[in-house]
Formats: sequence, C-alpha cells, structure tokens
Amino acid sequence: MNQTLSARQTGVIASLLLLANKLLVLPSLLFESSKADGVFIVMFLLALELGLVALFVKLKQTCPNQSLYQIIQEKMGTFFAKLFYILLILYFFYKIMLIFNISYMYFHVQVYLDASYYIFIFIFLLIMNSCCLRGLRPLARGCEFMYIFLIGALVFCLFLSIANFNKFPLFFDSPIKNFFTGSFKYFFCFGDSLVLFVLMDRITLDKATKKSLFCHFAISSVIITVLYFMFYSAFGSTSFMYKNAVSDIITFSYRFIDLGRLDIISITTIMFISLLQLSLYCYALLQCFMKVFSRLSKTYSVVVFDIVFLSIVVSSMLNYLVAIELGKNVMVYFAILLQIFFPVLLLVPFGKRKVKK
Amino acid sequence: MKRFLQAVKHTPMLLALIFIGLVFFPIAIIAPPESVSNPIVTAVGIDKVDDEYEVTLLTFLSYPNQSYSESYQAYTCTGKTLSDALTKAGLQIGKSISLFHVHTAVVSEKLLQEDITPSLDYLIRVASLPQSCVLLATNVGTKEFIEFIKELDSQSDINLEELSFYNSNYVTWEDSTINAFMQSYYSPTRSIMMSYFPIVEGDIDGISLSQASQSSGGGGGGSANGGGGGSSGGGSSGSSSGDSESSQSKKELINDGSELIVKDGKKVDIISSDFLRGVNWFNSHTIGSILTLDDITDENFTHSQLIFRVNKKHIQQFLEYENGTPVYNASIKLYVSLIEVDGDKNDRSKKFESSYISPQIREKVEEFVKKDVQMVLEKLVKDKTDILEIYSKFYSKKRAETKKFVKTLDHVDDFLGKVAFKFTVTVLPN
Amino acid sequence: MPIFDVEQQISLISEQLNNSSDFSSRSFEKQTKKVGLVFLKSIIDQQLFVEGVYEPLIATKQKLDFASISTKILKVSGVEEIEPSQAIEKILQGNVVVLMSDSPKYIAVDIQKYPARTPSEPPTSAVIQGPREGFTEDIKTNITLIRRRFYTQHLVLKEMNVGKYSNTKVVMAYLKGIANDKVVKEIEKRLQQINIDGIIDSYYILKFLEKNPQSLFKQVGGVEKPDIIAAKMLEGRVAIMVDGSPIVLSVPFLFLEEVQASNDYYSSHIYSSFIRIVRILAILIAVIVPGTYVALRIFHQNVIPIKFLITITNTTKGLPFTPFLEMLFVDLLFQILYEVSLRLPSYLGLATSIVGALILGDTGVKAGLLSPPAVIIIAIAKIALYTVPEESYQLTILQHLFLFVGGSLGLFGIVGLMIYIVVYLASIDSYGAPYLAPFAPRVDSDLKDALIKETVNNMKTRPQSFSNKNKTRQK
Repeated sequence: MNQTLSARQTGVIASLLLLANKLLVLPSLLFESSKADGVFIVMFLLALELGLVALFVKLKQTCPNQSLYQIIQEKMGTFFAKLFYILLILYFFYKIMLIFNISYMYFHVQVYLDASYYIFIFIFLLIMNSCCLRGLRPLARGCEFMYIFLIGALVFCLFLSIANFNKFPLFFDSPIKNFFTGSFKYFFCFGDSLVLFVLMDRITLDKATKKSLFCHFAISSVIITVLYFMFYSAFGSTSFMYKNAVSDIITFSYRFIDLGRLDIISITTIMFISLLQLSLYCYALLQCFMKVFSRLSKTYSVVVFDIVFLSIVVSSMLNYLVAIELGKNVMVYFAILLQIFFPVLLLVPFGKRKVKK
Repeated sequence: MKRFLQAVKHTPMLLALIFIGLVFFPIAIIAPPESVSNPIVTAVGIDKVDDEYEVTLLTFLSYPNQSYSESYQAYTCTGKTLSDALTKAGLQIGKSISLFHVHTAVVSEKLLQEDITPSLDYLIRVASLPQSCVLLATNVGTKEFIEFIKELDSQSDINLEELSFYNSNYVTWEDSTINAFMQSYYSPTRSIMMSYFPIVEGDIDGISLSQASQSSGGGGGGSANGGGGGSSGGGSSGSSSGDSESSQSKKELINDGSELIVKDGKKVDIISSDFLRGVNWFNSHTIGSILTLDDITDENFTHSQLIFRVNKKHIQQFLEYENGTPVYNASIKLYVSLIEVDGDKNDRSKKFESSYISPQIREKVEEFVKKDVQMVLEKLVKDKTDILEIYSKFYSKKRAETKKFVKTLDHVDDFLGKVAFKFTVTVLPN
Repeated sequence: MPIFDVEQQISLISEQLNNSSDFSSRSFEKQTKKVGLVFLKSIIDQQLFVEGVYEPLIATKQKLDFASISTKILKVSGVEEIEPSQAIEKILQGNVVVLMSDSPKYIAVDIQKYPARTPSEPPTSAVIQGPREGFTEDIKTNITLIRRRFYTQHLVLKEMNVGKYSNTKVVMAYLKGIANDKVVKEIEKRLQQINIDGIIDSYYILKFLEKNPQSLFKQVGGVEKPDIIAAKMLEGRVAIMVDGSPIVLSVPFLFLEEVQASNDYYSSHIYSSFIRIVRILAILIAVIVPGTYVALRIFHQNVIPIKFLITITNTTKGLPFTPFLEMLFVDLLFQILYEVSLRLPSYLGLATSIVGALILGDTGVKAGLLSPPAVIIIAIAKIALYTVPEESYQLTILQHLFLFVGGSLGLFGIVGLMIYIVVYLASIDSYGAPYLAPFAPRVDSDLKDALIKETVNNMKTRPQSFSNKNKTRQK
C-alpha cells in the first residue's frame, strides 16, 4: 500500500508544525528581549526556517528515494546515523515537553481553573499515542481535514484583533544587539521543519509538493507575523505581561457584547493545533526511536515514550518557564547543530559512498 | 477473558477507553457545576481601611427561579495583603475567588494616594481579573460604592459598565480599562486619565436611588466581616448598613465628565468637564462637542450667545524641531452647525438657519479653542502629567532629535513644558 | 412409455418439503401420460396458475413435450426445463413444477407472487420535487426500478443465492465500463464467501461487505430510492440488492454521502449548498452540544456568557442532579419517548408525544427535576440529529460519547475526541476510497459535489475519490 503523503498533506504538516510554540508565549518573550522588534526577530527566524525547508527540498532532490537515516548512513556510517537520530530524539522530546507545557499553562489559565494536571497528561498521551499507532497517513489526512478550519479560525482571531488595534508598534527602539541575542536565544522555538527530514522517505517531491510546501509555509508565516504585529500594536509597552498572545489580542473585542468570551475560538483552535503538533512530533520521535532501537516494535516504542514522558512530567513537574530556560541555555545549541550544521553537512558531497542521483 | 485479551490486542485503544470509563466516568457523575466552587463576581472594589486592604466583591446570588432575574450581594473582607483579603472573602462565601466575569474594578481615591499597580497586577495574575475590565475611581469607599451600584442596578437599567462605555466612546475618547492603565503605567510619561464616578450627598444633578433603598442600601449587602480573627483591623467592614440607616441625606452618583489624572499609579488631580473639553482638542473625535460663544456681534447677531455643535473635526499634527526645540503644530478644521441662539428676538427669528460663519465667529472660535488648550497645557506642564502623550508622539516621529533633546533635560517629564504649541483653527459650516 | 410414477414422485417431493401445509399438487392423465403439477400455493399467483398453466394443460390437444409446453401451451413466460434435483429449489422459489411420466426432466414455470408493497416514497428520503418511487421488499420490483433507469446493455445484474436456509436472492448491479472491475470482483468474492444460515435483510449483507464491521461508522451505503442508486451507479458504484429488503446497498461509501440528499439534485445548487452546510452544522450540533454544555458547566463556567450563566445558575439551583446526570436524565427521557413513539401505533404515538412534550417541557421543570436549559439543549441536539435520519444511530452513540467525555474531561477532552474520530475516519478505506475524500485527501474535482454543489452541467467528470473507469461524464 502506497503510504506516501500527498503534496497538500506535506504542506499542511509543515504549516501546522510552523505554528508550534509561536502563538502563545513567544511574542511576550521576544518583547522582553527586544521590545516591538520582536516582529523582526520572528521574521528573521522564519526566514531561517524557510532556509531549512529549502535545504530539505535540496536534500530530497539529491536523494529522492532515501530516508534521512540511509543518507547519513551512506555518508558517515551507522554510528553517526544513530548519533544524529539520538540527538533528534532528544530534540523532539524537548519540543514535545515545550508544546505540552506551554499549552497546559494556556488552557489552565484560560479555561481550566481547577482541573488536574493529570487530565491534560492523559488527553495528550491518549491522542498522541492513538494518532501515532494509526500511522502517518491517517494523521496527515486528519491534519488536512482540519487545516482549513484551523487556519480560518486563526484568521478570524486576527480579524477580531483589529478592534484591539491601538497604535503602530514602536519599532527600532531596542539596540541592534538585542535583535541578535533575541534571535539566538529563541532559535530553539523554531526548526519544526526538521520533522520533514525524518519523514522524507514518505514524501514524493514533485513540482506540486514544492509549491504546496512553500504556499503553506507562507500562510503560517503571514499569520505569525501579523499576530506579532497586532499583539505589539494592541499592548505596546505592556506586551511583556501577556503570555497568551492569540487569546489576548481579541480580549477587547467582546467587552460589550453579550456573547461571552470570544477567545474561546482561539482556545479551541490552539487545542486542536497543539494536539496535532504533538502527534506529529511524537510520530517523528517514534520513527527516530525505531531506527535507533530497531528491535522495538511501534507499540513498545510508544510505551517507552509514555513511561519516559510521564516520569519526567510527573516527577519534575516541569513547567513552561523551566522548559523555556532549558531551551535558551541548552537546547539552542542542539537547534543550531540540528537545523543548520547537519543539513548543510548532508548536502556537501563527501562520504563513504557517493550518493547516486 | 481470552476474548477480551483478543479484543485488546486488536484494538489497543480499548484499554484507554476502559481506563477512561473507570477513572473519569465517576468524576463526570459526581462533578458539581463550577458555580458551586467559583462565585460569579461582576465587580470588584479595592480600598484601604486602617492600613489594611479591603476587597469588596459584587457577587451574583442565585436562587431557584425559572425566569431571568439578577440578584447580587456585596461581600467585603479586609486583610493585611490583597491575597489575605481575597482568601478571607473565599472563606466567607465558601468558594474560591476568580474574577473572570468582572466587568468593573473600582478603586478609591484613598487607595490612589499610593501606587495601585501592584494590587492590580496581583489581581490580574492570580485572580484572573480580565484586563479588558473597566477601571474607575470613586471618592467614597469602594464598599459603599459597590453597595450603591448594586442598588442602582436593581432599581434601574443604568449600569456602571454602560456609563463607562458611553464615557469612553462619547466623552473622554479614551478607554479606562485596566489594560489602558497598565499601558500608561509602563509608558515613558506614565500618566493617564481615569474614569471618576464620585458619590456625593445632597440634591445634585446625579443618579440617585429611591429613599427606601437608600435607607436599606447597606443592609441588603450582607457584608461579610473579614476581621473575624479579632485583630485590630477587624470589624471595620460590614458596618455599612448601620451607617446607611442613620444617614437620611440623599446620595447621588455623579457622571459629569470629570476624570482623574493618574501618574505612576497614583492620583494627581481631578479634572472637570471643561478641562476635558480642552483635552479633546488634541483628538479628532467630535460626537457631542459643543462650542459656546458669548457676546457675538456681526452682521447677523448682536451681543448674542451662540451655541455650535462640532459635527466633524479634522486635526493635522506637525511635529518638528525648530532650532533644537520641539514644536507641536496643529491645524484644526471644525465643521460646525449652529444649534442654539441666545440673543434678541430679531436674531433668533432671522438668523437661526444661517450657515454663514462670519469672521467674528471664526475669531471667537479660535480664541475659544486656544483658551481651552492653554488651560490644559498649563495644568499638565505644572503637574508634569503628559496625558496627551506628546512625548511619545515626538519620540515615534522624530526619535533622534527627541533623544538628543531629552538628554538636555533633567527628566523626561520636563519635555511637555518645553514644547511650543501652535494652533490654527479653521471653522467651516457643516 | 412411463419412466416413473408421477404420484410417487409427488409424494416424494411432498416429503422432502416436510408435508408443508401450503404444498399443493394436481395430477391428471393426458395423452396416455400422467401429468403432475407441484407447487407451494402460498407463493404463487393462483389466478395465473389456473388460467395460464392448469387450464391450458388440460385443454390442450397438442403433443405434451417441453418445446410445445413452453412455446405453445402455457400462457406464461418463465418456463424452463430442469433436472429433478432442482425441483425443490424451484418450488421454493415460487415455481410450479410440471412432471410427466414419460420425461426424465421436469418443467419449472415461474409464477411466483408475494404480497408486495407498491414502490411508494420512503419516509426518510422524501423529496419536495423529484421521483417519489422507493424500493420495496420485492427484489424483482427493485430490479425493474433500476432497469427502467438504464436502457442500456451496460447494466450488469449478477444474481446469487446467499444463506443456507434462507437461500436469499442477492443481486449485484453495476454499469459495465464505469464501475471498477477490481471492486466488482472484490464484492462478488465477499458475497460468495458468506456462509450464514439466513439473510433476512440487507443489513446482514452489509456487515459482510464492510472491511471493519466492528466500526461504529458504516462503510457501506444504504439507499431507499432507485433514483439515488442510479446516480451512484453512474458514478461507478456497485449496488447490492437483497430480496426482502427495501434498502439497496452501495459500495464504495464515503463520509460525504451522509450529507448528500436526493433533494439536493432536484433543487437549486445554491440552495443545495446552503442546506448541506446546514446539515454539517446540524451534525456538529447534534454530536457536541450536550457534551459541550456539560463541559462548560463543570469546567469552564467563565466561558459562558454572563446572562446565560445567570439563567443556568438560577434554573439549576435546587435540582437533585449534577450537570452530567441531569443531562443523562433528560436524554434518557427522550430516548424512552423516542422508542415508545416508534413502536406505538400512530394515534397512540401522538398521545405519547404530547405527554412527552408536557413532561419534558413543563412539568419536569416545575417539579424541580429538570432545568429548562438542559431540556432545550437536548431538544436542539435531538432535532439536529434527524437532519440526517439515516445516520441517527451512529450519531446518537457519538452524542453520548461526547457527553461523557465533556463531563469527565471538559472542552479539551471534546477536542481530543474530535481529533481521534477524524484521524480514525481518515484511516478508513472503503474499497480503495479514502473515507474522508474529497476533503482528506483533497480531491479538487470532487469538491464540486461536496459541501458547495455545482450545477450538473459543470460536473464534467466522475468522482476521482474512488476508482472507477471512464472518468468523463460529459463533454
């Protein structure tokens, strides 16, 4: 059975992953780092992400029928392939923890005042596991099915935020140094397209795929950039106080309407998006896991993942602030290694055996 | 069992479903509605009484009823800190306090003697007070104020949120929300206008309650005494019913367009509606703006008082530095219509429909506007309260010059005093 | 020269049929031959038997052999020569079997007649404008209804008997040159593999055709009207008719078909698009509204608009139930009323409806057992459920699943379950067709007849979501 992804599904996955970690707390963090110039940081990092996608396309063109593991194996040998995959496992695991914790904080503050932490862990694990076990194709189709509604909801939120538009954000009010330090510190929040590298043997690269990939990437990028712009324009100097950007930008839209909180739209959308992102990350992680520990079956890999996830989450009660600090101090180096160094290295023609085109 | 194991092997998610059934189904069955554990608080008042925080919560009180009806109760609690007061309030009503549904937050003038930002910050972060909720100040204690608006709400269709909405859209043209307050607090000039609703005694032009409810106003509140522990601060709350009963004078809520100027989270001054009119010459909103020109004598009128309504207002602002000094140049175009004439009989009958704006009227209008502006600027410079955000405007338009200029000043607050204001007023018939 | 004793054979057949009370036989001598007629009187057309078979045989002066009987003597068309071993089967199928003492073979005359309904409009697929015929329990009528829509040699009907005891006639119908051969073969194979004692209704067959019969979601369509099945066959689907069932099955089946109704094709495409969106919304409302209401009350009070929250808090004060139990209770009342009104005769059903409406709408509320918001939520959800009556069973289950998840896990649980269901649906494969097509995977050309419907002249190709031949519909 042909299990490759369609062009649209590839684009949708890239687009959904790109939204990970960027709609809630990051605008506030970037403001702390370099005020309204956070918009430029995010645009710069999106450009780097686009570069990563371009590297993926180039690599896929160079080795159309091979998996990432095979490519590394051929170029550098099995040891390096496993090493690279172990790094990927750690990185993806961290990403999962980050998305989980940020989403948890968001839902807890917005709608689940008294709910237990375990409810979230349970739902996340259940959905991640079931989606992973069902396979990539149903997951990709599910993403494709929901994509239009999710993007529509986000655009609607941005539309509602017009009521919140205060004044043009005050750009270039922060030293240029902050721009670079901010870009460096929060580099770990990007690099979601690495998942595409892991799934590269399931993607057929043709003209339509390339078009879809870049179109969907553009959609997410525009949404992210506009969100940051609206956020800084709405909250100006107090942007650092608001940790849930996508909800906060529409806070004022429903003040005098008896419809209740319209930010329920953004809350529900983020619920969908975060669950899908986590499932995709989890799937990618399991793919890496099964390559490194090739004897483990899919089900056992899921069980191992669950045990590790639960033990870390429950024992250390990792919260989003700790996760972000970890990202800024440690994972950022992983990110540079995995997102820039390795993809470029793979494109350099050297190795044990020449890759046939 | 064998069949079950086979089913599980075939569908591993079955185990998860069984788990949900065993763990979460009982939760669903016994889970009470959230309203049992979280009260519906619609307004919150923060005050300071005897160096202790006093928090008053206007809480929805439910009782079995098949039709729509609102009934509220005010609970007051005091504590050394806000969290202490809120915890006590929670204890009093047996629920954990969350302020999600709060649409009005009231602070007293007394509390505004010191920086209220930490209190608000605490309420936002810990008690989920929406940043979009209206923030206003009053001259009396917030407990009394909330009791008053509770009665007002039950007696009439007027509610504080709508009054505030009207003010921010037709009178002040500024939002008086917690977010606006916070934004100004963290801005370079740290100044803002804040809604001010005093309650005064006597027969004034305000919103009054019926006498019957005035005498029982406090009693209906069921104020909870937060100082149950016997501390010295205790007992100060919950006594409003006695006070109200003894007081026979009529109390009225005043909404006359007066506002409070706040800087660094503290009260600076109260401004009148005339002052507010002056402030409004700096923005292009017009609805309801009235120009009163006295003693107009021209080809149409003789010593008449003319009232014009400004139907449209165009303002062009030019921010420049001339010889290193900031110059605020504004060109105001007013489209007015004559709505009232107070002069002799001849004037009224013949000229009321006139659309001609004579040079005398133009001159008077310009004089009128400039007088207003002068009054505003004098006060703002004196108080160093840049509520017009003149500094921010210069900073965003002429950043380099402004930075350079500010270096020559002792403090950024002195900036407003150094700006040269030039106004050109053009009056056109609408 | 007599080969066998007719009377003896008749009694043998009677014995084989366990001397059934409706077994009947006639015998007479003609032209030195003994002639016997055996049949089951309950399933033949008795008038046709007398006028078309019995009387002509007695009155004839022609030579009695198969050729003259079939072409000259009998006044019926379905005459065939059979082996004696087939006699029982033919009799059971409503044939009169003619035995002649000088012939080693029998003659079967098909004059089967069952009490059958006329093809009236089915109650759940009514149209405002459009054909009002519906399938009946009689497979012959159903075949006729399909046949009269395709005057072409491309219409293929394949018949087989399924069921050890019921020996039910099952007919596959498809258009050669349009339906995919692989799908046809697969269905045929699956039908032939059925080894069951009896087929009572097409639902029995349906479960054998589904690739995952345990699934809540049906993977084979059920159609009550010949115009719909004809349209589906034109798209390349295969129809499966079962004798005794007014529901004709269609394969492959897509999720989208649940929101398509025959009325859509006989009214303005703009209205059809609008009504399809309404149907989708109704499905969503039916499935998630009760669960969401309970979730909001238990977990997310702060999301409810304050005015509504005040109404809820007032009206639920003093109820003896928790939000979840209250909703279950109202739902249970509704389900009981539904079952009662379904089974009772219409005049009693009406009375029950009135009592139900009074109990639910007024007395229950006044008695302090129910709250008006809960009643209205269930009422809305249940009404919405019947915008797609064919799916009401699975939607009811989903509604309860969401209610349970909403009550125990809140809004996040509801979202989680939605994702789970969507991913599950995306994994279903109906004879090579992705269940969620044309949405996931997106098939652009098929979106013309999805939520937004195009006019017929703009639908130039057959659906691409599943395999069929000859993609062009019109040029």
